[in-house]
Amino acid sequence: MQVVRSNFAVLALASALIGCGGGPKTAQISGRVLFKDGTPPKGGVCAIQFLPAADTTAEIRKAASGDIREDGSFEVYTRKPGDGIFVGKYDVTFAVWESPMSSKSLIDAKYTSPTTTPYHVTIDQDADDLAFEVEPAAKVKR
Amino acid sequence: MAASQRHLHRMESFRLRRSHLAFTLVELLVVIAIIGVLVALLLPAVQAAREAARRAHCQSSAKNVALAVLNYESANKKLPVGMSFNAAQYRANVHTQLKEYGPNWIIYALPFLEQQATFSKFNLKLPINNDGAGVSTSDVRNREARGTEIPVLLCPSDSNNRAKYVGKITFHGDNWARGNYAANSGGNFIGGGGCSARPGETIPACTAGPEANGTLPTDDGWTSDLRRGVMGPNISASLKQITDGTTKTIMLGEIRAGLSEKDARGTWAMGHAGSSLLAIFGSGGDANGPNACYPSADDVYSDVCGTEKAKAECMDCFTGGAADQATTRSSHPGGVHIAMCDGSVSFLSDNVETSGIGGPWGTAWDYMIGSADAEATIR
Repeated sequence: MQVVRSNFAVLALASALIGCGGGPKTAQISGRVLFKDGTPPKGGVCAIQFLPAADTTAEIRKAASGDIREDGSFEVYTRKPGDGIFVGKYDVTFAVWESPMSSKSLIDAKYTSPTTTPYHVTIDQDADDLAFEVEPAAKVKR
Repeated sequence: MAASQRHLHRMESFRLRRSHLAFTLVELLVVIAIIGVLVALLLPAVQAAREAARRAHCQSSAKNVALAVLNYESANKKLPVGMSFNAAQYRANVHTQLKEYGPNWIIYALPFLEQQATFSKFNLKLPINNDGAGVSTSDVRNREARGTEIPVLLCPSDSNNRAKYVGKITFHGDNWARGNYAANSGGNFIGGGGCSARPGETIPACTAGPEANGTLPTDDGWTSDLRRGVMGPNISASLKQITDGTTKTIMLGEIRAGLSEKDARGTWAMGHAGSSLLAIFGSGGDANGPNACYPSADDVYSDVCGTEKAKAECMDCFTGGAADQATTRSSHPGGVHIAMCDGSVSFLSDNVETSGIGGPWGTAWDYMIGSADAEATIR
């Protein structure tokens, strides 16, 4: 009887584990964004976006993003902190603005658009060492 | 000899009968375990079926509200304005909050929702928050009217929509009934953006509104065609002006009622982002996409912003911007109901393409928000 009961427990556990889950594969990625001189970009809005590339193989086309912290580190998630990024090809862009209401980008404009960014990455597994270098916005000539 | 044999026989028959009389403890435990497993398997299915029924209810309500708005359009040749306010009064108080709120789109649509009685209760010459501190007069009609629960505006999946909003700040007044539907005011902050272009764009993207830094657009509440919605502050589109096509442009989205009685989200008579309007809920902000779970996503009047509870419920918010930003949210697993400008309602997955925190404009979701964003701008 002991054996039978433990079999039930195993069965219940197995069905609980198999029942849920599935869905497209995701990866947990993190890294660091710095200027050339090694200092992190700072702003009222300071975020990194992984935008699905036109030819991405990701089953779900949805950008993942994350705030760039004070030390330049970031963790990327799609909708909810911790949910990771759908594996596939991405164009990497950045938003560093004075404030959420601001019209001013504090980094070079080429990093803000998927068509001009120099960073195109393929995410296929977890990674915690992604490194990106950005340039500050050019000083406006008067 | 004979006596002992008889005794033995009696013993055996007793044992035999005894085994039919009751279950052993182990047998009982096994039966309970089996029942437990069966119930455990059944419960989620029952819960899912109940949620499916509630979801169907929310969907049909969205359809009814959208049809009421379209009927308003037929009668008035324009959609109702998302919110209304006295622009002249506001100009005179540049850089201060507008404290008197005019009628919003739901109030204007009431006669088309078979709510003529509630509509008649309002005194539309007075602010809707008429009894709030600093706005007070002895007329309490608007306070009574805005506290009316309107069944078609309540989605039963939302467990917070029966507790009224009592006012986060005193000039709001209290007694605001909840609502679960919000109109698309566009991809702009309501006013708060101070009419500046989003980084990477050339046209100022602003929508006039109470929190605007005094810069009101001269001709049209939407300066940017890319980001214009359909029902904004003191402005609305006619169906003709929805050049993207009415089937491709969002009219209404679901919203969730605030998590506390001092959280103004989901308040049907209040014309504010998160209360009855969606604003900057696509690219260029941090409330990007349905059920966006980013930190401080919605900019609304609320006392739960930044709390663990708000974060756990994916309802985090930011009070610094007052009420200028909010996205569409629901308690349904996996997505929200969206009514398009043709009156069709669909369940849209949370996985719709968006560009994340502060991402550049141009995703599938962005094009559903803009009512006049030309196809040519698709990247």
